[in-house]
Amino acid sequence: MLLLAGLSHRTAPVALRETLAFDQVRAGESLRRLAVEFPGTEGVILSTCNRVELYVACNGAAQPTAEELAQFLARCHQISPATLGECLYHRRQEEVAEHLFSVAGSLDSLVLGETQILAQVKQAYQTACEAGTVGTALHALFQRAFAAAKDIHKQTGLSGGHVSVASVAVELLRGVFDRFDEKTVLLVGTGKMAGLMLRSLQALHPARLIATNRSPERTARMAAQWSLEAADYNRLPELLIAADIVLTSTGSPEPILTAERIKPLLKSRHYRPLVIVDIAVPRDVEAAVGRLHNVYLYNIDDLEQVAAGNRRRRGDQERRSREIVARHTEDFMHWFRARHTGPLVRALYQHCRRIGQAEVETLLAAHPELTPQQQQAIEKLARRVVGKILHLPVTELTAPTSHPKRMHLAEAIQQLFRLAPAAGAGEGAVAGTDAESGSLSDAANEQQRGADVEQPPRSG
Amino acid sequence: MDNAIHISILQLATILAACGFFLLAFWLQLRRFSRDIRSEPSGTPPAAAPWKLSPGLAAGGGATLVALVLVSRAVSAHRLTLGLSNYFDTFILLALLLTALWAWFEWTRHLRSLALFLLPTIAILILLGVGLDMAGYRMFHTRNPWMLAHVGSILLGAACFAAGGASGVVYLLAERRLRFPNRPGWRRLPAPPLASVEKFNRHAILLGFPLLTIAAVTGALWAMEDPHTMGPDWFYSPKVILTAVIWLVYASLLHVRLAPALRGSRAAWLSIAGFVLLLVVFAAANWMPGG
Repeated sequence: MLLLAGLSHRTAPVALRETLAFDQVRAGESLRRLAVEFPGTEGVILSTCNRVELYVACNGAAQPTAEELAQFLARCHQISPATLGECLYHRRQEEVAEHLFSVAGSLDSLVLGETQILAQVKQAYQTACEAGTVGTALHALFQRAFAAAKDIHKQTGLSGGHVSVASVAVELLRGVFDRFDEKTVLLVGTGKMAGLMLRSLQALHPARLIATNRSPERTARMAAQWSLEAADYNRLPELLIAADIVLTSTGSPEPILTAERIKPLLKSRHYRPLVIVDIAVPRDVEAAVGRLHNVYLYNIDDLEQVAAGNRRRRGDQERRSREIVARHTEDFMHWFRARHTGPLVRALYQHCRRIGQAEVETLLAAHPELTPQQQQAIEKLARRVVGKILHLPVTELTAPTSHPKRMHLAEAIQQLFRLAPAAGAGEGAVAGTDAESGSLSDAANEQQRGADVEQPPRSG
Repeated sequence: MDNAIHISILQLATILAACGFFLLAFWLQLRRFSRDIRSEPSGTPPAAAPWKLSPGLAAGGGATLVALVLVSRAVSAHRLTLGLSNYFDTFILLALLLTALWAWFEWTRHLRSLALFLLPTIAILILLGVGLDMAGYRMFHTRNPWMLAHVGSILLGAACFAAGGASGVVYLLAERRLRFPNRPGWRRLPAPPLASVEKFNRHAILLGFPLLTIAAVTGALWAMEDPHTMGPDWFYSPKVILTAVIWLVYASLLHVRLAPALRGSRAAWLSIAGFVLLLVVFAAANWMPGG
């Protein structure tokens, strides 16, 4: 059984997410405690800025309920379970796989398509491996999640294309310049939008960031807030010569930068490329400036349109990504369920083989005149009969089908043959279905088949 | 005069097939680039099964055919320097050099868009070689060491200028994309930053320019040594004048720091014009005395 309890940016405020966050050490300790409280339970804790999730795989005996998982999470942080309230969501079985594959593929992220989450999922898995709480089920689940994320990024390009105005501007800057450590950024004006854009520009680590404005007080305030160089507005022509990137965000009703004003400066700039990002409304820079040689002008409308185009494309990519997630979920769950029927199948074969063997032994005891060749032929016949009889029921039991139907079949077989309930996952599993007609009772062959099926499905 | 080695029908068919392969590679690469651009909201999902016939396979096939023709001709003529001795062989040798350059661009990945424009250039060079051969077969006077140095250096120089021309085209396309970021189709054309393309262009021309200079000087030395072949007025022949113009174009490109107004798109246009002029000189020289 796969279970998940968690909260994310979609359900919980940042304060609660912070309260419930796990660092690596704490995650390891908590997972070990989980294994003690619920023996035979596998667990992984995924804790990022945007989500805290506990993935659990259990094998029948000590199966925690949703409430117990919520209480466990609350106990880890010594808070009341009531605090978590409705922020906590629970998933079971294929919902868990689907959720994890979506998370790893960045379909559930705040910024769709970001790749950092995959590294965080890998880290969470690694931490749980070190804590010794990852078994066959979660190992297969997480390996499959990595493969799903890889397919999503490779086949849909979800991580490409920027959807915010600031990141679109940075993308365009990267189209012009190959390096920024020698570039000068000039900020003209102190509009509200400038802060967000400035943060993106600062991330490029330019050589200089200069701020100027008609009001010296505002310039000083802005410079102090963002650690910029403050410059006198009267030095604007000189600053425009030094700058490689200009960000304008003034409240001026008239354009402050006109083609007449910029053109004479181009020669002094040695015709170096100049990128002007105008995020002011009304515009600060005349459209004719964008037609000057080696000058690239983007206003807020240009950036918005590019971002909108990327968002539209993302919608399509997201749909394709969901299809990839669904495919991987189906593949994984098929393996996961077949894996649970493995012990039952093995018990069934052993039971029938014992009956056959007992009958063969009785027959051989009654007919000591039989030659060794004849004895072998009789033993082989018994094995073949068992194999042929069980072939169809086992095929039915392990075929990809809906879960309830499989459970009914398993229960029926248990009752009809008086077999003990499946001892649980993790043991040798036999799900081979199409090779049972021959020498099935060969123990070595069966072990080999069991080992083959034990491997998680091919990922990627 | 050396003995002429005419193109056989088989060689002609092979070289035209090679040309087809290069054009196929161009089409495949263009298709690969545009697949990203076309992935608009209502667009078809990307091909789950990647193209089995890749640009690399097509270009590799073309290069193999070219190499086969070149080697078979050199073997049948018993001349290792055949590739430098007449227009056809020189042009297909240049095509091979450019294919190697293309492979390098492909391998570096971030210069992949430059590779795209080398493929039609290779096809044009092959066709030009065939055309010039048909128009009038000429052997160069490669027994003269000046002539050998002349042809060798111009061959390598032309490869550099072809790379410069290709980077010029990429620069103009990338600049267009940056000037009109909202225009569909240009938005996601994979191209390196303008500054990288400009740098590459400068390096290609920086390498090609001394080779062109060596070619001009050795050509002049040969003409002076052997005044009968080109005639006494060789200095005023269209070929020499055009070469001087090309030399000036590339010299000005190299001095963009002194003439910064030539930066950016203007430099890109000049590097394309320089390469086209070079092809014109190659074609014009075929009809002029001395080759």
